[in-house]
Amino acid sequence: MPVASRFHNENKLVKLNDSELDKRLSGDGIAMEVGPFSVNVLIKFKNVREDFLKIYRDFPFYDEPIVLDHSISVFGRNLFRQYLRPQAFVETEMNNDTIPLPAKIGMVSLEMGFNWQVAMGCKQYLMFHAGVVARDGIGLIMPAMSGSGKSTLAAGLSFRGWQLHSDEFGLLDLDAGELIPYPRAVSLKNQSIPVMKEWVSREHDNYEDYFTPAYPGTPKGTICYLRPPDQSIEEMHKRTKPNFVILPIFDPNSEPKIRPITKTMAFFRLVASSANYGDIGERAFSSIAKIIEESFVCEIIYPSLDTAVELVEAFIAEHSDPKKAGQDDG
Amino acid sequence: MMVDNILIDVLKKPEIMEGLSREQWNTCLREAKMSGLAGRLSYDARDIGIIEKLPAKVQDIFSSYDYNSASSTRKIKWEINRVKRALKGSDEKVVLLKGGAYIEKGMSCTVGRVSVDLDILIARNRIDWAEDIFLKAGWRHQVINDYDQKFYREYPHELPPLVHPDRYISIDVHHNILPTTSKLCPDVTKMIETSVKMENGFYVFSNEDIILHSIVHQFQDGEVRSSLRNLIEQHDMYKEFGKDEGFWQKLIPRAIELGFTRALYYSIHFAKNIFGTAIPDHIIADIKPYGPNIITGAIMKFMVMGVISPNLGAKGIARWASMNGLYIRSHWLRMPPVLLARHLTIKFFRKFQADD
Repeated sequence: MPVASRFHNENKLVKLNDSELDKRLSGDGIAMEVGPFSVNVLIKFKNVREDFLKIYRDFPFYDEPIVLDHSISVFGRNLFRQYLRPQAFVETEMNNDTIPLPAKIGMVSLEMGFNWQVAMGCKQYLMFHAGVVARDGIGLIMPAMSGSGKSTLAAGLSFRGWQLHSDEFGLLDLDAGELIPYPRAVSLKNQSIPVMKEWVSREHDNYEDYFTPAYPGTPKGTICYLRPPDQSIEEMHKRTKPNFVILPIFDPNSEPKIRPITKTMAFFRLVASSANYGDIGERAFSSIAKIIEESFVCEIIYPSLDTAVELVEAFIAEHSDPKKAGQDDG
Repeated sequence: MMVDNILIDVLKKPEIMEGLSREQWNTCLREAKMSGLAGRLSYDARDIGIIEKLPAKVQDIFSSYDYNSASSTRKIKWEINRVKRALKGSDEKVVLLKGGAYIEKGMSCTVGRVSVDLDILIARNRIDWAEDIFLKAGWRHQVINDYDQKFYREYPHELPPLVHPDRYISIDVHHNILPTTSKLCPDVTKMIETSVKMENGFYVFSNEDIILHSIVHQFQDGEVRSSLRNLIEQHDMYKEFGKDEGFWQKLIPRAIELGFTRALYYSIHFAKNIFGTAIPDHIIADIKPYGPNIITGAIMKFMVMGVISPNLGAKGIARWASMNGLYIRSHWLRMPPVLLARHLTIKFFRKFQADD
């Protein structure tokens, strides 16, 4: 079935007029394409629809019936929660136990729902908890823990000419050995919000347009979402083989430096970052082994986004011919 | 009983998957996912050789569930292995229940199935001994709330769930299959006595007891959310165990002995009407006297049909009534009224405690 060819580039959400969008999003929902997934999105709150469109307005939608990977609905569970003291509940159809949030920050519920669906319902692709970007045949995986600044770094690179695959869900097609772009709202927390605003403002005068309002008081502090660069959304189907693995470490008191690591270490770090390694089993093992075999690997320690981007670019320039990968062991 | 539900149709006749429209697929997949049966559909499609004729997107979704069920089976087997290691040197009779038993026996109902925990049964007077062994071997209590801990220890039929921090599979150590406060709580020693030793040293219930356990779990103990999955599990068991005539001879007498006749009636009734399960006529005739009166039967039918699948029958208020009706019924059967009132009151007020 022609999944990818079914949508047309002109079928962007933004091409529907406002009342049509509102009607469909709050009615049966709109089936849209997010990376390799087809998702039906239904939102009962007007403010959440507005925030949602800020991020996803250029994403393609389907006008014809399509088999869906996921359905997601954001609504109030009863009249009281819909209108009087509105609270956004997210239903992912995957037995999620998510706590409803105040409707003002309903966008956070929606993104949590998306995350849940991918984390729980996507075992066919090897998944890395990592920022992933690509450029000119270079596929870069940056596995890291939450709070290491990988979202900021991935987003930062993507506003300097890289294609954003994802700021936290790296997906690998096990058959083709290719990274699958999964661009979505980049989730920025606390201090990284002003950093990214400043970063995007260097390239775009209308930089505020890329950001949702900030949502204070979430379980993770203040959250703000950033729309991926236009080009990354356009190129949502352009896949790349991974050939660089860089482990980012944010340390505000350190000098910027590139630290070599062994391939063995990189292998284990990539395994540890994979959410479904244990579910996929043997194929996950051999896929990660292959990635590491064909990749240049290092750790970077950086005190700021500027230095991080410089270090990444420097390391890649130094090893610019990917065919040489595998010759030296760290 | 008229059943108009695409998931049930597909479970009964997997070959119709080939002709489903996209809209039908969405309904079917949505219900299958919510009922924990997507892996089952995937297995069926491969089993009858039509998987490659299905839409690419469906194959893609199915492959995710294939990994899921394969991984679940692998993890349960490994957990059984770890439990065996922890118990090394003891000759205590340990019975694997539910998913663990199905996997160990290689039963047909395990295809595409996902088990999230491992249930084992041990004699009541050995329960402290077992807890001690598991804690020393690295398992940890999952429930730390004082009320829950106390409640588990004083009333029901199992230890608070134990989880090993390296593996995230919880093991439930039971000393009975139903809460000791339950009106239906059986003399479990009878079930342990007739259990069968497996190659790895663990025991499993006899076939009659395995199916009766599944039945009583669904129809008396309130497995509301996964109703359909339980029922198809029983359908598979009737088919698999029923090949042996001895099974049918022993089934009803055993249900009488353990006090599970009403539950068995419901299982036979709903399996036959929903899945067209082949049940011998003499069994249907013999179980009939144990059925409910007309009113209870109608209420039960309404409630079971209301929850059996997300899209079937009841919606809105009716579904809510069915869900909560069965929840309250299951609790009613579990504990005496005063205890029940106290338990539900504490659970209700706890919802408002921010730090819980």
